[in-house]
Amino acid sequence: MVGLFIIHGFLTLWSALQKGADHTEEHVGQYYSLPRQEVEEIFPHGLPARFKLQRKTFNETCFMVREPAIELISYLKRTNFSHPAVRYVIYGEKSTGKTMTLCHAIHYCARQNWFILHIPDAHLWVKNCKQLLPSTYNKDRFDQPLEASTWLKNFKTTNERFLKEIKTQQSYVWSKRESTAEGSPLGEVIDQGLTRVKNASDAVGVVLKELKQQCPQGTFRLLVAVDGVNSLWGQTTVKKQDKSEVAVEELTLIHNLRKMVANDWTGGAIVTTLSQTGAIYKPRKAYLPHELLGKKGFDALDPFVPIQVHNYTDREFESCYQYYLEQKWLQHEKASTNEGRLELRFLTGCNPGLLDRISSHL
Amino acid sequence: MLIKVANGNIHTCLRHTRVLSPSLDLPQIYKPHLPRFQQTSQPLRMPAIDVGETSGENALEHGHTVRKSHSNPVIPAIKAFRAPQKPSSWATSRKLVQAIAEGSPLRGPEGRSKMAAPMVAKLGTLAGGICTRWKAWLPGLTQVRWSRYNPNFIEPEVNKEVYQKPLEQLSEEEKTAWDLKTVQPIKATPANVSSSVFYDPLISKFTSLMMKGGDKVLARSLINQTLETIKRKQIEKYHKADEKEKENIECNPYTIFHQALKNCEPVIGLVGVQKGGRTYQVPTPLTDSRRRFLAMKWMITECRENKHRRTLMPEKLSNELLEAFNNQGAVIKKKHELHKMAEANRAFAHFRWW
Repeated sequence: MVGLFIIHGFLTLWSALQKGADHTEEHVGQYYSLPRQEVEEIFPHGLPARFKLQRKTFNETCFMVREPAIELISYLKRTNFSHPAVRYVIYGEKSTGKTMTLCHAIHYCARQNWFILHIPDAHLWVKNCKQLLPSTYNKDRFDQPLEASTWLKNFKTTNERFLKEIKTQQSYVWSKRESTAEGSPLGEVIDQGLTRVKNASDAVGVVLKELKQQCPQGTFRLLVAVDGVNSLWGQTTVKKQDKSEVAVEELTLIHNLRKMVANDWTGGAIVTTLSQTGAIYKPRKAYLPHELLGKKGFDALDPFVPIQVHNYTDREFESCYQYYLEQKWLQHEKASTNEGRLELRFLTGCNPGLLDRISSHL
Repeated sequence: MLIKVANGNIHTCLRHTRVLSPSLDLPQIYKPHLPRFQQTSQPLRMPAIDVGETSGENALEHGHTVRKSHSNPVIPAIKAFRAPQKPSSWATSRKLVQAIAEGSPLRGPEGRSKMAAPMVAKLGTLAGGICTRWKAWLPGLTQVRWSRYNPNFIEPEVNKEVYQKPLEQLSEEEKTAWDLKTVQPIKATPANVSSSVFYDPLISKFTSLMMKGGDKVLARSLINQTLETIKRKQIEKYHKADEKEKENIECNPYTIFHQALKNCEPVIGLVGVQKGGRTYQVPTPLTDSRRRFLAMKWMITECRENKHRRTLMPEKLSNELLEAFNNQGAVIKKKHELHKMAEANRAFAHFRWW
């Protein structure tokens, strides 16, 4: 179903995304809305905070179709599943729409029935850790039960239907009395991690390992989506008991995630985002892969496909402006005039995040 | 400084009112910088129509020295376009008050005959202006801030639309005003005024009142978050409402803000007047600026002091503003209480002489 609204000479096209419907270059700048069920299923975690507020206020979830997302989706369509997983790195200046591009790609893959492994913000795993336990599996490493258990809970919501089909290929012993036998569904491992929070990080490690082993067999396609991948090779602000800093390699979650992001498995794709906003000890203006990943991260991720996200083009800006007017978001009486539009364009510099923040109080 | 008024009452004047004449009482170094073609004799002059003599340079007022203008051809043009003189001439008022303090009666024919001839002529105008001048000594009623600017300075025009009008569409008045701007000096625009399309003077005033420690950035961001919160609440309410009720829901945070503050403005105020050793709360009218100030002050104080410690200011403010918009809430209650007090004290209204 396609609805046409012509306002001020611009065309704002809202199209309902059908199953497997494509978004091509013609649709750039247009909005498409997602049904609420899907959003709650696919994005229990992962949407940016301001977008969540907007979703609550407007009572609907609308993504704008933008060029980097279309490019990424076209690459994903043409993936060769017998080759090793290709890594895509979305980078760009602050609040240009990197996370939203990632979410668009995730939504596409979810529609194509891929298995989604989405880490909403890897920066949250390397800072502000309330509980740090020494790992039971490996003495040198540290566990983060809280972060692991929240992630497991959201992961379960996203991939419910797959968890019964995928079976473990070896048995895991959690403690003297608890163990998971070989051939049991993956859902059991996750439940184990949720009930025994002490083992949550190890449960995460088990899940990642199983998925990596079984994906090349071709029963399902795996999309690994990591937001803020530069934290995997950065520094932490987590401290041990004796106030010495924990190195990033010593965290179990990060250790396992690094293995996941390596391209030594087939049957899927890895889409990542670089982000300065949560990054530790990185300058504010840094956005390029070299600057944010550092030498170690760049070498680990190399080779990758870089996708840059820019500010809004003229057409995208007009579309966003019209969308806000229609949703009654721009309430100031001068905001609907031509002078108001030009002033908004000047104030925001066509930056998507700034446009959102400035139009919030207009 | 204490002043003894004719009827024997003593009134305290505002200690921080500085009665200075820009050109006379100050030593040379404190004179404001003036453009070369401007001379400063003008502000001390009474309005030309009321003075019985020539308004030329030869008139001596209470010993004021009149500076001779330089031979500048522009000067006659300036004199013709001189801005109307304000009646509150500070040096004359100071002399008046000194006369009052010394106990010399001003009103009545005796007083007039004792004064010098020029003084008598001026008294006619002063009599009308006496009340306004005495008001200056009463707390909280008249403007105490005075401008260092020469009255010749014109107010700046910030509105962009005025400059975009083509020359043909201007009326005669606007054309003369436009020509005036080429010769007369213009005051500097204050920092909180902008030519932005979204500029709102009331919001600007409110942020200045909310500001602490000069942190306007923080105050402005709090106001923006407040407006955003109000908008979000109203839009969510709009989406949940029925079709018929949707028209009644106001989603514009600016209209809500303006209407809420308007609803909080008191109509009548109370002023403490000392009589016979006791201070009476006398009901008095309030100027528009005072009302706006009280409304804003009450709103901010209420949100700062009477709410839970952990709630953030945008949340508190948005709740209070929405309640005030619907004529409910603590600030409206405070306004009503003030009105009731004024009504209760209406017997003392005759203590007011202004």
